[in-house]
Amino acid sequence: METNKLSIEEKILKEEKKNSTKISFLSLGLILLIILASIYSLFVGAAELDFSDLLRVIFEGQRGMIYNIIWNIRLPSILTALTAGMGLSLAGVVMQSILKNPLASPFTLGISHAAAFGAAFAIVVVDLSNFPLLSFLDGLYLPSVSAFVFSQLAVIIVILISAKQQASRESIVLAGIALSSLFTAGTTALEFFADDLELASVIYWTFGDPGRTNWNQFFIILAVLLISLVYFIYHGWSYGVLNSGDELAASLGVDSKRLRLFAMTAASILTAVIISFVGVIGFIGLVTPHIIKKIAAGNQRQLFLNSALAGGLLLIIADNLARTLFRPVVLPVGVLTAFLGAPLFIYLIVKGRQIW
Amino acid sequence: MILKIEALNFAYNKKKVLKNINLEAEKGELITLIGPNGSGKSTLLKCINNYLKADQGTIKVKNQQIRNFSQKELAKIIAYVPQASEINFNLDVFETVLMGRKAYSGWKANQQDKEITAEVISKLGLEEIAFKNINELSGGQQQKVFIARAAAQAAELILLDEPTNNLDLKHQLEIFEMIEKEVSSGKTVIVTMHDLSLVSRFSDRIIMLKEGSIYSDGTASTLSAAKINSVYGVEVSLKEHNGKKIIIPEKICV
Repeated sequence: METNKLSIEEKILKEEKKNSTKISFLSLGLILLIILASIYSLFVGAAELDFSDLLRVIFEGQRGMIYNIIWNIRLPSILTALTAGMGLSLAGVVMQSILKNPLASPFTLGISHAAAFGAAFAIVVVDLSNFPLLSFLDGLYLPSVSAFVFSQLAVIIVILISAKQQASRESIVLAGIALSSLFTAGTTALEFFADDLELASVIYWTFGDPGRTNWNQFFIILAVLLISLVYFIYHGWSYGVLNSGDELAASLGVDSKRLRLFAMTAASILTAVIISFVGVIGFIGLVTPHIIKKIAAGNQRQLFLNSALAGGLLLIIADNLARTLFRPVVLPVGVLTAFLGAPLFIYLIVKGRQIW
Repeated sequence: MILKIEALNFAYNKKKVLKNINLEAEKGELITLIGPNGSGKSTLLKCINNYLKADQGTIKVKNQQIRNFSQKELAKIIAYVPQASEINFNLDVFETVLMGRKAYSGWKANQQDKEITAEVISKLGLEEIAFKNINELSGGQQQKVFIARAAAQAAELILLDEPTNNLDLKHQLEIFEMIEKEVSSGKTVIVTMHDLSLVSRFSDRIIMLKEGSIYSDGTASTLSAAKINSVYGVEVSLKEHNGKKIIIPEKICV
């Protein structure tokens, strides 16, 4: 009897080990694909490069056009696509978990649209020439700062609505739709009053594109991503427990209020930083977590990590397609993710909530 | 003594829900709380669990006031299964039961947590479904998993809020078998229930709540038609079978 019981336990532990190894392989596989996709992306674009060009730049330190293309255009663009995709997807999976809402994401909650409005507001309305002290904000940074401020405003509204006891899953998404419409209308109004140059900037900004960042901006995104990723992976188990409801989480020793607040704050700052530098990239944050859940959800920590990795991979691939589909025209990746993401989103709605 | 409640009062928005509750529970005791809807059963469990903070009175576990424990420390002493468990996750049974070990570990479960989880799953007979997705299980199976999660907490006191609600006969009995296993291993279990025949079949001690106060506290043999009539406002007939009482509701008292 005793040996029989022991063997049952051993079998369970063995099976558990097998399962967690399988999910670790998924992470490793994603990392490998990211590396391959990144290397491939280095060669593709408006200008054709080959492997020998790359080797010359790396080993012979050759400067010139190819060096510029690789070092100042493609590499920051690929790395920004990677980190932005990871960050948006991580923010999406966190928001879906915290708001207990499979349709939550920076895009569906109206945060992205608020950022776009903020940028348009800075481009069209704000004139810093009267404020010499603020002149350091001028140029590329001002729309980013304004986008950041407005996206935080949207987040605060979402948090306030979701904090209301009666707020259902639907009401949060509906509030997101209302916010999106409101900020889109605001952006359109600004576009109406903008002159040609401003209009071009606003439209350029609205379509997200990882290719517009420089190394400094990439490092800011990277820093915020790394801090968030480490935080969420470290507290992944606690967030997993939170999915059983606050009452049960409390009885398991988890402080739900503090965790929820931290999560929404971290996810929204991460989103805002990315959108304010890269522009609006929809659907990555919404769709990627669902793809991972379909493949192998694993526990919350694994879900956080794998969703982030898959988001990075998807955005690198999407960015690649955006640069090559209509060569030499480079499509903003935000347009492409919307084209790919919207049908997937509709599929999710039609398919319903079979698994969370 | 594992639990001691003295002069506990609790009100929701000025409405008194619990009035002067005094209760003691010993190690290895199975206590059933019965009473009509709104009599304060669930609220009492939530107060014991420190999820609701008592307005007056004291609740002590292991001779210390519950408010002196940190949330984590308390989770090692008291486990709780709510009436309706939320499942906003997509985990297998093993990972769900493993949640019970959260208070013992840091950022991730260690080997000992996993061994204890496997032990609980095997002890409570859930090995067949150990790697099934929780969302694919029936309501009865899910409830068993949640009780297993509470068992994995290795707490001395387990609170179960209507664990047999909406379950078929077989699952009701299986849940009680699980509860009996926990009690026989020395744990104290406080459970709220509506099925009085099932209560009388399994409980050593039955506490009747009426309008937030303890109306009676005694063994199953002290359960009488008059008491049930007074607490529920329903006339019942009591039949005896193998020394256990079967309660048949007859009509509503006017």
